[in-house]
Amino acid sequence: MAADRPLQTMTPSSPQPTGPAAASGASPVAAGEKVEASLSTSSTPPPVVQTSRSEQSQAAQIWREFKKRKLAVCAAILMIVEIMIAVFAPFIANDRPMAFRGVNRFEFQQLIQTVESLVALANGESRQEGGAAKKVYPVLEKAQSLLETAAAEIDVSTSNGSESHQQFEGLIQQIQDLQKPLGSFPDQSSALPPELIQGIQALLKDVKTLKKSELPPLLSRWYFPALAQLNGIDFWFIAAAIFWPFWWLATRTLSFAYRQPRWVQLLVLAGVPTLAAGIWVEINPSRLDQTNYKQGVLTAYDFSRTAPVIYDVVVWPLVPFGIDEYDTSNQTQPPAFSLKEPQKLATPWDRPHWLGTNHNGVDLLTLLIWGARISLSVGLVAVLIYMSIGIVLGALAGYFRGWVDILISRLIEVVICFPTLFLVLTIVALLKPSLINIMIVIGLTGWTGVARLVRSEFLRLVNQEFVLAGKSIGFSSTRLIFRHILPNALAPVVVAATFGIAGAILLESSLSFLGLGVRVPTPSWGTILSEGRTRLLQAPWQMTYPGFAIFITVTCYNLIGEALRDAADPRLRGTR
Amino acid sequence: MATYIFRRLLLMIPTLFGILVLSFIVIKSTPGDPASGRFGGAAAAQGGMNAERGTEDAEKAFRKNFKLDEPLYVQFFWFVGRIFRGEMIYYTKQGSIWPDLIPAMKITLMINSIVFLLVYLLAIPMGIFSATAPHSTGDRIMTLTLFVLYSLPSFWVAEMLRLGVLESNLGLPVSGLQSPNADRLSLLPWLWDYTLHLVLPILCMTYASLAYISRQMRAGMLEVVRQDYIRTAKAKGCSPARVIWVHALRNSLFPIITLFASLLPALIGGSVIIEYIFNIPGMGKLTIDSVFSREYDMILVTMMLSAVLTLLGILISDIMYVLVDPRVSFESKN
Repeated sequence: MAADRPLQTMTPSSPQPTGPAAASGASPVAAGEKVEASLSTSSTPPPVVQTSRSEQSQAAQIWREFKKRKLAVCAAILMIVEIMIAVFAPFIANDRPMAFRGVNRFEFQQLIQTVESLVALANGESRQEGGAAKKVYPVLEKAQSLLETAAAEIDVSTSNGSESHQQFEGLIQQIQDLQKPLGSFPDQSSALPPELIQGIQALLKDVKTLKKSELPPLLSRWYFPALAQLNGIDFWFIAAAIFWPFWWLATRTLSFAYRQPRWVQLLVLAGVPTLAAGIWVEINPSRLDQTNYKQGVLTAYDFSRTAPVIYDVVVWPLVPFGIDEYDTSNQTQPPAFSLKEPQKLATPWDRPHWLGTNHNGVDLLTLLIWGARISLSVGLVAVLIYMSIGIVLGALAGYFRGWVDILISRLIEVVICFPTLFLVLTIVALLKPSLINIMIVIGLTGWTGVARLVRSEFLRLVNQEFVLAGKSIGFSSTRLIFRHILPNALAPVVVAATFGIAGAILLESSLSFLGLGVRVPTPSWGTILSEGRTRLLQAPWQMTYPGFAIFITVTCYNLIGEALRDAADPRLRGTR
Repeated sequence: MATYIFRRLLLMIPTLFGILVLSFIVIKSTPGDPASGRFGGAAAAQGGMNAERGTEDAEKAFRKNFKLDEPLYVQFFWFVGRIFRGEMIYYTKQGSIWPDLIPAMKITLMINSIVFLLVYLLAIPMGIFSATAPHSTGDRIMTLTLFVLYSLPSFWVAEMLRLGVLESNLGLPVSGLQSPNADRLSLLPWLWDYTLHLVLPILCMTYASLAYISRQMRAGMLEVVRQDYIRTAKAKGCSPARVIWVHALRNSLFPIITLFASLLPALIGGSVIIEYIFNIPGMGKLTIDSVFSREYDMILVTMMLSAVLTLLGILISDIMYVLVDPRVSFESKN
């Protein structure tokens, strides 16, 4: 407790703590009024210790106080690890390898199948009256480029391979022969001449024989299936997770980085991941990778030559299971460590299900790792939404006072009367339960606390010298609110946000638990719980671990929030 | 005193109106209405042949009867009128909702009152204990335990408790409010049966609020114990018990009295999920059922009732605040 004393004297000219008023508000509006009243009576005494405060920013002060709490620091580290696990989930729990050197036969077969259907399409189109040449030409072009891709995969060093390669070359030549007359076809609207139609028919026949013939030996190369699966948003977060620490280091060490003004820093922080994600989406066309990597074998064991994938070298993720991978031989398995004899593995690439499986045979650890993405992002986004609403409304009420204040305070009073779970439950159920809906509804109903906080902070700050100075120079209200007052009112808001994330995660999991949750494509922790609820006695591990994950996350956020609150303002100790 | 309460009651009117408007907006802003619920999709398919003959006319009559095609403000005032006349109904079976709602409300109110009583009865001594021996081992353990309890999701705790009770054969009932044969029991066994059924739900609803309130109580008590007048009391030779119970206790009660108001919505909201898990026929379960079956009137009424209860809670906490703290007079609240 003694450590807080110097900080208290350092807090910028704040009113002295006034017993009950400093503790959390009585009725919603009363708290602010009390603070205001205490301001008018006690003309704030000048801070005693001025020197150290001017040397350090408020953020640095908070951080210094925060670091003293070992438990909270541990919680923060744990949360960073958890967020990292969520961000890198595709590389931690996946049913496809992170990287392998080898051959993907399945993909090759799919390629030829696509060529066949393209040629069949061209064949059909060529018989149509009018405009056939215009339609057939691009289809054949596509087929040709696919065939070239496939031909490049063939290993021509063996006799078998070079033979097959020639077959491909022949087909490509055949298509090119057809394209010449098609491209220079004089009349776009009339029907194709019969020899062209026959040519396409012959091509179709040849492609069909190619498809039936034995698979040629293919060239080994590196593949990165887990990486190829990422979409733009996944990539943004991964890029951010990698880039941000580097930029942070740069701002600490390199002068060009820390000399940049704040808006440049923000631009770099947001821009670089966005740029990376944009480039990624551009160079990595999204496609459905249906290859069953689990059925792949190492080259030395490739006896039957039917395996879809052959690995020379393969790197599997730590948890080699997918969220939609139904391990039918291991349904409702208890956690591996509680078993006396090891679990039977369906394929050589499987590992034991460390936390067991659900009734479909989906690995529970995988579900938890992927579910973290949903649960954590719901917390974050919902809180972002209600922070923005709360800050804007609270600032308006506190700055303009008068009828704006009355209106907004009444609104707060009305919304606060509704039990949050009641309100959210009703709206989400009447709308369609979806991730976006849950985030928005939590956001739209949870803003009252933040609005009250910001309002009372504004009431306190709006009459202080720096605001009056700004007013007298003629700053606009917007500028005063957002550039001058808000930064000073932000500390309690950040604290509230930390508690808010914990609350939002709890709220989302309660909703999911009641069956109004997110199920597709990834279940959130609450949804796993609600599915486990029906099998409580057969599969208690389905209840234990997701609940534990929620508990740990909520505890950590609460610990961080508590430490932040004490660091930011000892007056607020014991309040929420 | 009476004028103060009267004025507060008058001030409640705009808030009540706001509650009405907000509930109405919530219901109206979601897709679908009673008519589409009754005549569209699954309901029509269930109706089979009969539906084919007269659905359209019936739907029209239904919409006309319940003014569903009128402008919004007409609908709103009609809805307000129906609330004051108490004409809320189930749209599917066209019966009044009150026979279901009132017993459910009684149950929820009863459970919540017990929880309230328990929370405050336990929290105050715990806070006092912490304040008399701050930073002792006992205090540290208690603080940590309460912190952990506070973060435990109640629905998970409820399920874990159910699992534990079922597996350890404790003989505690884990579902419902009464045994199936309860109506044949005489008064005392019946009461015992009822109590047993209440143990787990009340445990689940109490611990989180208890953790929260007792933490506040501890903080408030510590704040008070550091004040000068406590030192003065000690200096003039008051016994430690007298210092705590007479001088400190009353002043340390303010924070937790103000919390009464914010605890109420949390408890009512929390009872939704606990009632769902333990299958207790209270207001929470009624709400979930009516949300799933889209009984708009029931949803509206339960939502509004919970809001009004909270409003009353705030009023009560303000009055208690004035009663406990002589520094806050009725007039200065102006």
